[in-house]
Amino acid sequence: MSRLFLQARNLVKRFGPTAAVNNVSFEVKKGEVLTLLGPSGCGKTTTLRMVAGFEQPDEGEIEIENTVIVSAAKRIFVPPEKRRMGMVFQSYAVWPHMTVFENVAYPLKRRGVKKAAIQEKVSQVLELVGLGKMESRPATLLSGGQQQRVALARALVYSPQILLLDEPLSNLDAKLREQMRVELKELQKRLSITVIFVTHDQIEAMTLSDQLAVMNLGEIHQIAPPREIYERPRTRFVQEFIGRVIWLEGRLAELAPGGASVEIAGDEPLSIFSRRISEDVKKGDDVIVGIRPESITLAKEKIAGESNQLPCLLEKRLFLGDRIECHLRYGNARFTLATPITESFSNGQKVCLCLPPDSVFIWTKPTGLTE
Amino acid sequence: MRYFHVALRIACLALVSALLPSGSARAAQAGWQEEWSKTVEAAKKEGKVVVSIPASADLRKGMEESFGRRFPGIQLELFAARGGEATRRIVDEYKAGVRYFDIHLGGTTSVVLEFLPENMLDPIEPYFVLPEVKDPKNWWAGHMWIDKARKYVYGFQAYTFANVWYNASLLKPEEVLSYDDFLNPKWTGKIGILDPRTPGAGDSTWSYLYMVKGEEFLKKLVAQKMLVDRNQRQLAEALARGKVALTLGITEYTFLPYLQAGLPVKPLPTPREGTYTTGGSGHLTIIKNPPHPNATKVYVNWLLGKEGQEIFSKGLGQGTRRLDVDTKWLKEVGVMAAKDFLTPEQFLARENQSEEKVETVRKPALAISKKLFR
Amino acid sequence: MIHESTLNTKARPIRVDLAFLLTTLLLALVAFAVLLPLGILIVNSFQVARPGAPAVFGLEGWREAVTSPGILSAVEYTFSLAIIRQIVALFVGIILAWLIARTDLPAKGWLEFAFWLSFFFPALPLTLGWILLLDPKFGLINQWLMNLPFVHEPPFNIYSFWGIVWAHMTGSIGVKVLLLTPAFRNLNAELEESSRIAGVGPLGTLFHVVVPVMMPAILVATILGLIRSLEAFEIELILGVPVGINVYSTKIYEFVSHSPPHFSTATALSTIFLAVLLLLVALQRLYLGRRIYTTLTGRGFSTRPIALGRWRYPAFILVAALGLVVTVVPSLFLLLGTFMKLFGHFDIRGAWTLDNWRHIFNDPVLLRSLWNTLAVGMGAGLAGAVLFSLIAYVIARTQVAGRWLLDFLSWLPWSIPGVLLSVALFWTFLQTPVFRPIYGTIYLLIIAMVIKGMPIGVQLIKSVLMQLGNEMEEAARISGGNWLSTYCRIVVPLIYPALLTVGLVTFISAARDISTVVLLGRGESRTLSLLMLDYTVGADFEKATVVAVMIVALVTLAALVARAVGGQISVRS
Repeated sequence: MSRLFLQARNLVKRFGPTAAVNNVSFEVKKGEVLTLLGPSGCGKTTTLRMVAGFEQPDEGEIEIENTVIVSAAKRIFVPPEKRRMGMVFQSYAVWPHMTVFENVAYPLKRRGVKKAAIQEKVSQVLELVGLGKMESRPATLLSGGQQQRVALARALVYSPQILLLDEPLSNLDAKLREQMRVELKELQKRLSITVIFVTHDQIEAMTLSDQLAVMNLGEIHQIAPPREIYERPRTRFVQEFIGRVIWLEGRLAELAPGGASVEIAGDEPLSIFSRRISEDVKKGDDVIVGIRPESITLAKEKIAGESNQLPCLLEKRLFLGDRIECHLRYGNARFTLATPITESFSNGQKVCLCLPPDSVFIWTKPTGLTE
Repeated sequence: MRYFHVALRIACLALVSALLPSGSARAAQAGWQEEWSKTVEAAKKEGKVVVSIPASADLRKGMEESFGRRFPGIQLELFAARGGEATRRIVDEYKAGVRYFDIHLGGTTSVVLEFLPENMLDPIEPYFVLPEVKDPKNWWAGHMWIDKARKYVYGFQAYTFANVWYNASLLKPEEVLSYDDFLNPKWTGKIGILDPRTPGAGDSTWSYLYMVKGEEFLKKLVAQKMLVDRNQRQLAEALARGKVALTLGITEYTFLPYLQAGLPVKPLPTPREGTYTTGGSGHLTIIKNPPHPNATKVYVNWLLGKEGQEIFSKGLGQGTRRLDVDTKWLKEVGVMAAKDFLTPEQFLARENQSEEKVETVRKPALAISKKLFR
Repeated sequence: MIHESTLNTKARPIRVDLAFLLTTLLLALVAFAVLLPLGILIVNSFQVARPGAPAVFGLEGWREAVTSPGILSAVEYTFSLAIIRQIVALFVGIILAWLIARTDLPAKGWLEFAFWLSFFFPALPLTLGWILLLDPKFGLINQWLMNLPFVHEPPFNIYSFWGIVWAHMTGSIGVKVLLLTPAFRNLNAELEESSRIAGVGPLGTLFHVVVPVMMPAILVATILGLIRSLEAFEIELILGVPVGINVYSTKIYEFVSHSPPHFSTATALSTIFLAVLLLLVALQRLYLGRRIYTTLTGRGFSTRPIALGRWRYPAFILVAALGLVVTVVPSLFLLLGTFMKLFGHFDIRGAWTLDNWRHIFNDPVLLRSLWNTLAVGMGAGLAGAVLFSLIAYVIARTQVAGRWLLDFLSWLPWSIPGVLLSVALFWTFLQTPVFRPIYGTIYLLIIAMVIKGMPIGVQLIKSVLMQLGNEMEEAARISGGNWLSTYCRIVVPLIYPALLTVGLVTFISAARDISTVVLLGRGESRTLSLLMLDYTVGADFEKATVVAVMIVALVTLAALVARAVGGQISVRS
């Protein structure tokens, strides 16, 4: 369909003895949004900065349309100003000594573009980001959202081949963030520009990405479209980081090609069947079971003939307006589950959770985990 | 009335016996010893004496060491600075009512121009206690005073020295036999002079030239494009390096290391018109009502005694008038003590530093220098 | 509810009053310390009677100041020398500060240190060192170059316009690096990176983004440097006066050192200079009034160094060479001089000796001077850091009505050349009864050094504070801290390096100051630099260099300590 645009291979970046980025590879297709998602310190920003040219990788290389722009082995390094990229920074980095117009015109001016052309292009792009009437305003008098738009306009004005966004929405308040998220997506669609987007916010990542790369501790755990990431997380970390999860512990009792069952210790020991099994689990292993709460249905009693039914104690119910939050306990495990306001349970009651085999994930239990 | 006459007669007697040194030798001797030990005791109670001296580390160190050894209970606080700076400060403090300095030692120009008009000095003779200081016989030409009143500025040195030096690789001494030879076009840009607008040997030389050659000569001399500097060492360096062929107002003391190093700097034999005589920095003044009067007395008698004079002479390389101090060695550094070479008449004829000469010679010479140098 | 509201109305005015009270107190203090000496100076410019005679007022001093021969050429030289020096030093200084503060230059900590040191070098011995190398007649470099077949004339002459510019470069560049590096360090790296990614190379980014954003700090450094070079004195005296290059400060020195001194003329000249300076200050304020940038904010602030890539080592070599030329070369000559029988004469017999060191170590005054130097330096450094930061804080961070006046007053001591400032302070302390009890003690020296160090100290801290965003501080105050605790617990730790720098600069200028000490110090409050002066005036350059080496060593030690302490603290926070 769309052709390959950027390719990063085996990037490694060390700061002192620790590797901030460890053997990271990814691809971005033309016109596609790749999001690097992960908690702070996971190496996502360092990765982006290697793409931008602010950091040099210790190992690995990056190619754009089959031209190497940086390679540790071949000693190639194209400086950031020659990479034809646009970037929006977390602090926006709007230059305080310039007006809105001057900020946006700067990249063109330094390229020696003619004055009239600059005027036209800047007006156009300011209109695009919704700052049409603010050309002459000094940068210091802008609100956060306006600064963000200036930064975006400045990154777009010279039609870069790729746009790099480093947590651009994190400094905005919640409502504005939502609005900008939508605008950003629309803008990207309209310009069909290639984007690498760094964030720690899974909602932003889900809504904006074509491809989502989940990172932790310098490594990419999974790259896939958002839905696939959500539905088929490849590691326990990915499942935990994306969406909500209920965790239970148990032992792998049986392993068959189509699925596996886990024995869960609790008030009433039982066995749960799952079709999503981590590749490295073996029979008899201690395992962790992760369940997406939204696929669970709650029943008053065990439904006869159904497997994967987890008897729990409903300890507390909290009315939240649009739903009811149920605090549940199974053995030592405590978790919450949202139910429609129409349900009619009561505190202290025994309930039963029905777990569809497709929404139960089995992961190896990391050593040292005590919960 | 009778009582009055008696009282008057007693007073006259007392006055006469005080003025005549011949009174009763033994009584006087007993008197000075008692007075001296009382003074030293009282000085120890005062604890210190503050003296302004010329900026010389050697002098400061020498004085501190030997005075400290001699009078352990009296701290000698020395303030070493250039003449003009020290006198300016003493005057300002005096006028503001700050009593800090007891004594100032230094050249006469700043003392005459700044101290005397203020009427801020104590007569010095009452501070003389020890006979070796008091007795004029111990001094060449007796007691010498710089001020017209003959009591406020005591000159304890008298000497003359070679103040014109030349670079032997650039100039033969036969080429300059008279000051008129300075005007030879050959020496254009080749004469250095210590800035005559500030107190010091440069100002003395300049004033002497004014005295013996007149204003027209000075104008021609300035037309020679002289190198004017306030730093003795810089000028000595310039002569040693051959940047200039002649220097005026630089003392042998400054040239000493250059001579030791074997560089071709030499004193010019005194030109036909002679050279000036001076007391250098050897002038004592006592600030009126000194904060430490007894310690001041002790210091004055020490300074004007044999030890004090030896240290002062050595520290600055200048010639004392004290007869029991050896000054022959000064010849080695180009200084001739008046007591070894001159009669008092010869000395007085060529000096240009007394209050009278400052008024008649230095002031006009200074005015000319300020006009000519820019 | 009622109870609560009364509490509120009570609490508010007290907080405002505290700031107001502090400002008033500071204003009174600074006005007293600055306006009084200045007033005395200006009054004296009209006092034309000879010293000693009763006061007579007239315009004679002013007439002499403007008509005295050579004054026009002195003014011309003053400004041409100062401006050329500023242009060169600013250009070099900005690049150095940027390389040191913003890039991954190797060993940049030590390089910064080298330029710091260069600022602290005593000018006199340094100039002697350059004379040794660049004298047209015997300068070693000239002689060496003359050996080359195609060189027939000595190529360099230190006794010239450009010679003076060159001899000043050490200090001029040093002050720029000193003032600009901390400010550059506080710049948000993303401002630069956004320019790089927009297609502009590192140099273009430096001049189009970094320099304009840093304008407040650069302007302060320029004006401070300009004033410093306008009042520069020793170098011109040694290198300029013998060849007829007089500047305004050597003229003043000339008037003051006459006997009797022409104070009216000197003070009149200085008043004119003051007017010029006020104009400069006004221009600076006008410029900064329009644009006050807060470039440092709590979030998203990044100080990641810029990778120089293949330029890393060439840049290092260049900067290190420059650092060597301004520090190691002169100190080497300084050190060499201490072992010479005759400074600068290598070819005499017995050129080398230990006598100079022996002599100094045998002088009992050495320990006393060292102690006095330490006491004055530390006292002034400590008092200065506290006072200057309070003043700067009031100016930059409060809305109190009188703060512009405070700002203005803290500038003024710069406008008086060192020679005259010391005369003015001397008169002030002598004629002000409250100072009388401490007159002649080292406390007086401490006060004088604090006044002398005020402009640079306040400006330095102010420019750092101005770059600091309001948010962190406001957050601290909202979360319950009052004005004082906010200052102590948020502002001070944030600007700690600048405070340390200011304390250090004050310490060091106290350690090397001569002109102020000479009038205010006494036999017992003699400092090392005064000892050096003794030897210099006594024509004993070699021993003076020994003391100079000690001063340099002391200063280096102080800087090393500050560096170590500063490093630890920045790691902890």
